[in-house]
Amino acid sequence: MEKMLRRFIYLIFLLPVACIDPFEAGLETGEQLLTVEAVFTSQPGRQTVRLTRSDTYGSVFEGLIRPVRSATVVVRDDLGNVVFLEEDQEDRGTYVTTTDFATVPGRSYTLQIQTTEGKVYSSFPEKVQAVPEISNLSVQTTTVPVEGEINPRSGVQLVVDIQDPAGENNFYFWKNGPAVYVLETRPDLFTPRPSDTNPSREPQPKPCCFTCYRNEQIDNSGIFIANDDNFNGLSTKIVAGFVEDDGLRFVNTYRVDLRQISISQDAYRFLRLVKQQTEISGSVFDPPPANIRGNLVNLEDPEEVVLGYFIAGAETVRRIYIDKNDLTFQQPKAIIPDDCRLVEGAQEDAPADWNP
Amino acid sequence: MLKFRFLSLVFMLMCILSCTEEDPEVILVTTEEVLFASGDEIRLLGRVISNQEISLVDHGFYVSEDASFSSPAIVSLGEKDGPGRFIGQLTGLRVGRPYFAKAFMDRGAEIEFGNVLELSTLEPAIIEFSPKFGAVGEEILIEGRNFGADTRVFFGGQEAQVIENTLQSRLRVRVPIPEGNRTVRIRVVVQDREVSLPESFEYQIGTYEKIGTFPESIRVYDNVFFQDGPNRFFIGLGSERRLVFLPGFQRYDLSSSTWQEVAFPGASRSFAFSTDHYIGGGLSQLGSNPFVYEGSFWGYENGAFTQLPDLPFLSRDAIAFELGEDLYVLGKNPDTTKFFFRFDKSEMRWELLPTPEQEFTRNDAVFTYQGNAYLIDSLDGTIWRYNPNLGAWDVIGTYPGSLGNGRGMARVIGDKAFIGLFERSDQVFELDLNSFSWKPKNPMPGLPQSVIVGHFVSGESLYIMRVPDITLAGQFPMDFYRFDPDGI
Repeated sequence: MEKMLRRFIYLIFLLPVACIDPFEAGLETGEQLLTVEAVFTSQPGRQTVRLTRSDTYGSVFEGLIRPVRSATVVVRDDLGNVVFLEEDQEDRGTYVTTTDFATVPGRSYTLQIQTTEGKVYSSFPEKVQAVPEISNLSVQTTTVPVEGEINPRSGVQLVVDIQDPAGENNFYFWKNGPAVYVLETRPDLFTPRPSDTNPSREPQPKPCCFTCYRNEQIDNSGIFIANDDNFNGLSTKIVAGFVEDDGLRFVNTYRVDLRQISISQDAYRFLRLVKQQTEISGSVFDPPPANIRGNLVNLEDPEEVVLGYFIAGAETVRRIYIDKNDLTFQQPKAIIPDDCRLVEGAQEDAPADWNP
Repeated sequence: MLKFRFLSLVFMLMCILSCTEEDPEVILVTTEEVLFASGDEIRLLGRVISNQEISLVDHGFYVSEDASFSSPAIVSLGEKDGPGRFIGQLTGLRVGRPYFAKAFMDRGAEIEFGNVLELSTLEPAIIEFSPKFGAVGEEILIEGRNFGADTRVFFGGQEAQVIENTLQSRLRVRVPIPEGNRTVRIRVVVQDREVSLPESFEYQIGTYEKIGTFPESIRVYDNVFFQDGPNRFFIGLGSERRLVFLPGFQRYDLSSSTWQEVAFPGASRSFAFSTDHYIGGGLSQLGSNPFVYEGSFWGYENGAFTQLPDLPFLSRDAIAFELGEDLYVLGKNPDTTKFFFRFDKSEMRWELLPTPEQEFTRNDAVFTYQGNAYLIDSLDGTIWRYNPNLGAWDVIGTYPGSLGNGRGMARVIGDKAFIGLFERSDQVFELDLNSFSWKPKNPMPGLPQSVIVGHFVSGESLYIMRVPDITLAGQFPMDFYRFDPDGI
């Protein structure tokens, strides 16, 4: 009897252990923080400011990044000259300058934003430093092994030669500009998709066109920045961009404009932190995730977190034509079995300034 | 005993371990950045840095014109709990002056200051203004920089109302009444600084002076008008509200400012064509079912009407002009076919000319200049030039104003043509006949829904009479105006 009582007591002890409360792994609702993306340079043109609101991380059902519309956006220099930006009606949340706007080295610029709620934001002044020319631009092929794939990813790295000015701290930021390449397709292999009007599954070769010129604007797959701590006043080579080989770009000739932008020390620090965060790979040596403060502040509430950065710099551009023979490794040629003119961004005639 | 010693040692060790050294208190204030500086305003960013929670009685900035802060302007932002950034704004500064600024925090016992920043307020400047031409009461935009709160704008010596000052860089200003000059410099005054551009603002000008009223209390429509020299203006024929024909004319004598009735020996008519020396065609009966055409043709010379051979065509709403001694008439026959006739005065003979591709009627306006005729198409404003020597037509421009319902005015003084006053429009434009550039003139007073009764030239002025549109009910006098195109 006593034994049974003991077993019963043990059993009673086990019961509460078996009860498990499910853990609710709910994420906090993300704050809708103002996010500013703006890079103004000395290249005359329509320069843009992109304003959005951040939202909860997750799928689009969790939160949608929305443009900030109908804001008053101005850029002001240290002389007091003000340039009003207009909102692009086809791309809401994007505000554009006049077509001839350009920063001037030596001047400081401030971005001011007034939202429809009446909140006023201002950036810290960004001083424009002169930028040295790119003395040479070359390419080198690079490959990245991909787990489970026979072919590695590959592409070309853009390598700049620069003569860094002595006696001053210089900070560099590179972006890929507009690109054009010779697009080769196979209209002779065209097979239409069966439809009510054309149910045939037989190939219906087209006589034209095999070769076009395709325009594209590809973003760098990464952030390319440098400071001159290690080459102050010296000539150096730096990897300044990357263009991935997708099986189409380097079949013949590829042309890209590389933009070299001088940025401030604070902008460099911001981009370096963003680069660190975006390159976190899960290793124990990774930097901890962090909230990166930009250079914009709410004038009524300076503690409000504003994401993004207003960069003002000087810019120089160098163009390079990359021949297929310049690559030491190429992806298998991708085949588009149709008229090349039907590919988005493609046209039959070469650009007027095409001069490989 | 050993046990006691051991326990004592452990206890002492625990005591030592539990003694933690407190962090030294770090509380400081820094003046971080000049976020904004204009002519009379600055915005400063400061920060309280602390490793613990603090409460400040006050915080803000000291701003002074001297580095010793002998008589500073204090931007007090009040109490603050905890560290963090703060922004202060100060207005009413003097333009183009160096200033010193430092953040402060008051913890109750004493005021602590941050580092000192040196800054300068900026100088005002005008970059451009637009439009460069306008009328009194219109708005213009002045683009520039550092237009402080007390910015004043002057057009010459006349102060303008500043409607809006946007971000100290864009002034919306109402054009003041001119003080006597057609073109004036725009001056912007900010405190003791005055800035301007070499370009001048040009006033839209043109003055109208009422010099009389048609002597009869009637409203005249579909009439003709012409002038005998610079001082005698004739208005007549047509009808009173399309009810009764007017049998003759009223003549206005400019030198005596008097009206006098003048009989017309021919048949009454409406929709006739007329020039300073000829009257012809039109309808001899009121109403339109059917049109009854008048074929007689009259000349006017040396103060007398003379009947000429009947017209070789029938016309209603034809348009006529004189070039040299010849009369040209453009219009449509009753069967709506176009015609273009020239009357050779010396031979008293009509000649049929090739018709232009465009159709012209009395609804269009016409003027002559340097041996050519210019016709303004009232449908699309195209200005056609007719060269009688070549028999050629070409387009030289487009009237920029409202064409209303047609039937406008076109008159030449010197090298300027004055075109406008189409039915239901009060606009007048000046066309420079050398550069073919347009300039708007001040609109004509009175009801805009009016139609031309007559227009004449004398000296440097135009004389204009209009009548309210026939669809407007009521009694309206037909006022006679003198228009000075250069009047301010």
